[in-house]
Amino acid sequence: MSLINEGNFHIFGCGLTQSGKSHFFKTAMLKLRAPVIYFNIQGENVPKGFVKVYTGNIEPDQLVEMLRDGLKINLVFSDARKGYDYVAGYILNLLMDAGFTDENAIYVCLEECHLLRGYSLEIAKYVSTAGLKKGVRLICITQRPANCDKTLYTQAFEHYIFYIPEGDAAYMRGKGIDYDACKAEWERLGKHSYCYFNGYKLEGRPAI
Amino acid sequence: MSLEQEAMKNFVQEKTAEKQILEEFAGAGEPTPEPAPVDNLIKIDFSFLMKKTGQGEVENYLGHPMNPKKSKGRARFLRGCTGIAGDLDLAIIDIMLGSFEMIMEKRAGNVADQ
Repeated sequence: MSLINEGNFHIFGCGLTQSGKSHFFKTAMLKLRAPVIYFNIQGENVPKGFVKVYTGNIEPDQLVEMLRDGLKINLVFSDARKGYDYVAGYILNLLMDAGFTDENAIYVCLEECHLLRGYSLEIAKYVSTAGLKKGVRLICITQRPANCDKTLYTQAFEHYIFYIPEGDAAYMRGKGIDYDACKAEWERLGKHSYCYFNGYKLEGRPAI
Repeated sequence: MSLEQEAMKNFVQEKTAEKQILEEFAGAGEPTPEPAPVDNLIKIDFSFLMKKTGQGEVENYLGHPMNPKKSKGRARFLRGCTGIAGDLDLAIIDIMLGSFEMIMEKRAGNVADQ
């Protein structure tokens, strides 16, 4: 059973460090039927099932071919700063022209999306507004939604909200999410629980 | 070429193209300079109209060498001229007033002959 819904929409996930969001999303991506490219900007461990690829050791065509074959890629950047400065933007552009469709889509997971900047941020914003018809679905994950560009979370249909402090709750209010209701759910369901929100329904869920 | 190298190359190309577009746009937007005006008019400085009048009272100018009849009107006139032209020791003033005196003397001489 999948942890995140496989519809034609973008997803946004947030939560403090150790809130359980990284484990949740890595597990969820493994269960997706579509190919996935996980931008592992911080070099985190990922579960088996992902193919580890270094940005300095692969050609663009090879990467696209692997994704067309349905693989799940754990993309490791040699330089995190360059990675989210222009390399991520280049890859997103590549995927927009790679021939994916809404029926044969690809998931792009941008870990720590609040670190995106410059060229990469501009392309990510473009993909969040125009990527669905090109079969590119974003999963933007951050521990600092307050620092994240507004376009990335306003364009997401589904939100998976792990524990965040009230200071970061402005993004939630902007989407019409009741922070107090979320807080009550986290307290009720315990550690690593999360709230699911899809625009009209807020639902607390226990840890996986 | 690796993904990173391609990304770098693409990024540099985009930035260069952006810079070129901005430069072209900035160059096209510069206004053409207006032609310099033909300078065939004598430029008159009207600032003298705001100058202060000469120093002292009008009575001080009754005995001015250029006021032989000790006229009060001429004294005031001379005070004003002093304010504009200083001590009226300019050559042009001598020339103008001297010409006027020459005409007056000639007329006086003609009258005397008659």
